[in-house]
Amino acid sequence: MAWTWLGAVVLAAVFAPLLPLWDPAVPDYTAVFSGITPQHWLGGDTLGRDTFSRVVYGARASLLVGICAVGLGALVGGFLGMLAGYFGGRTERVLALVTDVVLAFPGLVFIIAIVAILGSSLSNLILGLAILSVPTFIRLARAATLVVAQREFVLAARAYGCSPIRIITREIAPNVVLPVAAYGFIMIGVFIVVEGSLSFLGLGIPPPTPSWGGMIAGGRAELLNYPHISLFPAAVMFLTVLSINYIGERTRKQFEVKESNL
Amino acid sequence: MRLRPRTSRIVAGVALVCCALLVGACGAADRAAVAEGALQERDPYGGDLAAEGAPKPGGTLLLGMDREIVSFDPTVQNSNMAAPAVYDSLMKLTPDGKAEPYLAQSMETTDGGTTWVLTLRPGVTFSDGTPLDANAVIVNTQRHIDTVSSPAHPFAERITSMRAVDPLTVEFVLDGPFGDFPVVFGQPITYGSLGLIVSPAALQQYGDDIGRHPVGAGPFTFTEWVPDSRTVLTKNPSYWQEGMPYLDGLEFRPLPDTETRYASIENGDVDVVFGGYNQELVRASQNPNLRIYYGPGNAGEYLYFNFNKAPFDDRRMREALISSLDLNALAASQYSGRLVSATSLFTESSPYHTAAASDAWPRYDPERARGLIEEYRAGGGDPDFTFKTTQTRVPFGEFLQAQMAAVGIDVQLQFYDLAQYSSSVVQSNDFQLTTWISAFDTPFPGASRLLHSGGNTNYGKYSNPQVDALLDEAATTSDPAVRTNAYQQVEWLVGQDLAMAWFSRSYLSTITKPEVKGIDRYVSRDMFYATTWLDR
Repeated sequence: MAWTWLGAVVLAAVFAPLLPLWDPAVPDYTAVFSGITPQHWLGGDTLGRDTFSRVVYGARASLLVGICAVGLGALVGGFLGMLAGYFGGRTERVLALVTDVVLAFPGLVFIIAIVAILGSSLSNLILGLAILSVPTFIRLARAATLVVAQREFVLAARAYGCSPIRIITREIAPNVVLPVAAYGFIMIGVFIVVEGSLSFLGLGIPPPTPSWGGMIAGGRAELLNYPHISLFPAAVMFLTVLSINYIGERTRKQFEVKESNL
Repeated sequence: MRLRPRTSRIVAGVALVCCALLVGACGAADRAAVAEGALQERDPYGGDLAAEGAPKPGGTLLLGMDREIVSFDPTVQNSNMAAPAVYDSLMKLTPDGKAEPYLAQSMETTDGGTTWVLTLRPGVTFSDGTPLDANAVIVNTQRHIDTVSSPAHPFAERITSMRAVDPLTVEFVLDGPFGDFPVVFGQPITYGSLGLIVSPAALQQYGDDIGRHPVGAGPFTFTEWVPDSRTVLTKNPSYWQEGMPYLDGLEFRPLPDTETRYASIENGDVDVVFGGYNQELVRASQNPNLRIYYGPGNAGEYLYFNFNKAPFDDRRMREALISSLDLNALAASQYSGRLVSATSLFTESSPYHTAAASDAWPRYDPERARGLIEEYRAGGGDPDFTFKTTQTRVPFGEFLQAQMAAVGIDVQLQFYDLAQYSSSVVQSNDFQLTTWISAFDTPFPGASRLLHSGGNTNYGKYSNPQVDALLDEAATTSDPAVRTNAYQQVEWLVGQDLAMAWFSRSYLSTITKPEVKGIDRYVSRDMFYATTWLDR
């Protein structure tokens, strides 16, 4: 179920320009607030733009933000975490300090500051979210590294005289990547929701590019009379994040089993 | 399969959500047909006091404001619905744009508008017991002269001398004729008024902190102010109008969110709300259990062009923008089909409005807009621009962006929170095109503030010497015919210059429960509370 839904969303997002959809940015003032019709499968929004088409194109923005921010955060955080776990000592203390500082800083305020200084755009949003996710990845990777670094094959590599960089990339990284990836998958779901909240506050992806959060916010003024404008994108976001969490949980459990078997 | 029960529960949940959505969507289709046509004016200056019967005394009125009070100090510009209850006003504006004495006894000129004599009522005292006399008026007026940031400073500045002829008479000598001078004593606090008189004893006691400890001669006295929660006023037993006020007290509550504010009046949490937007007014007008007071007023909701920045320093681009806005589409998409469209400075019912000005205003014509934009491009101009507005106007921004895309202009959107927007965008002149809402009753000072070179709400820096001269003439003269003619010409010239993009009148409204009687108000929503009573 979860896989089917997520697969459909991803495929629709990737192939959106090839699908026979309405242009998500072009208004049709005869379809303003329209309900479900044969032309508009999920109705029209406040400008009469096709909700179905906007949900599909919105998936691109939401998934792009989720995947890129998590990918960037996991890459940087994972690497720094492995450094901290492997070297320990001063490196670890400095990174722990940085991590604590970033974690203590209110995330929303940080994003608002980034948007205020750099302007709101897709890349700035990804950058901000990635920075926010780095500390958790550092902690995760460090913890995993501490365990792996004790193992015999690391000792053997060190005895061979391998450089620390080689040990980290060749010996440790393959063992750290799985827990980080499993956690990262769940984070994608979290960031899709965060992007939604930010767009709802007007700090997300600037219009006319559709995003789920922006669509939910766009229907807010008419929530009483025309709830479907907000509810359709909200339902799609809900199902997508639910699927991601469900799959993420399952994968994480599988890895746990594998580790205990080692 | 261990997972079955869980999966089936999820499926059931999804099905439930889908059903809810379908029901919602169908309901929406039914309601879409209900509302049609522009909103109509309804008792803009309040109810018919005589027809509402004999007032019953007693009761406390709960009022919801669309923003928190900043200060009760008349020299501080802010929208304050409670200030008239504490101070009353020396003069009061009439529906035909004049001012009549209210707290004052009379205001006359002896020489065609340069010397003005203000006579006060005998025996009026502030709620602290000190008399409201000539000295009090002079002390208060001097504060507006000394405080450059006061919204009334531009009017007070014109006073060259003032003196107390006797304890109840003040003589003002101005730097020249100023036929509209009495109007300045009847303005709402936000436009700048010389008619809100604070007790000099209280001024001495509290100094600049008077904004939090107001003492006036109005129907109610200040009791307490809990910021972001409530402002409580109690009946003034020594009020100058015999037998008034009828109410025992007023309680003002800030309800800045439109949805919350409307819900509060609909479910009966408050008795009165001051509405600011189309949505709540449309809903209230369809609710038989609510009473609305609304007049569209002059100006309204419009766009400021920045005359100091490309591309709107060029008239062709201003015309292109106006011709590419489809007001019918705007009405359908954001005004529930009830847009009160605006094509001129003054509203249609105003004596200063001419049909010619509206006829000459550009109509929706995307072909013409495309032509003008091509011409502008051919001349080396870049027609793309950034549109800045508040976070509550995202749908309007998207509408404008889509309309401009249709005529080949790429618009960037930037949204700000209200405080940042007012100070660092609009008042700093840091925009190409932006939105604003302003409604005024009398053309003076509203039109001068908006259109005169250097006017304090002329945020787009529009400047036309001919308009300046006509505005000065209109404010100076005591002859109504000359004034009307001058304002009609102002409207015409401003329309020709396309100084602003008018698109809608304002929706500043007062929404009450039906048992609230004796409403006495301005189109700008400011109210006089002495006559208000509760029929319950």
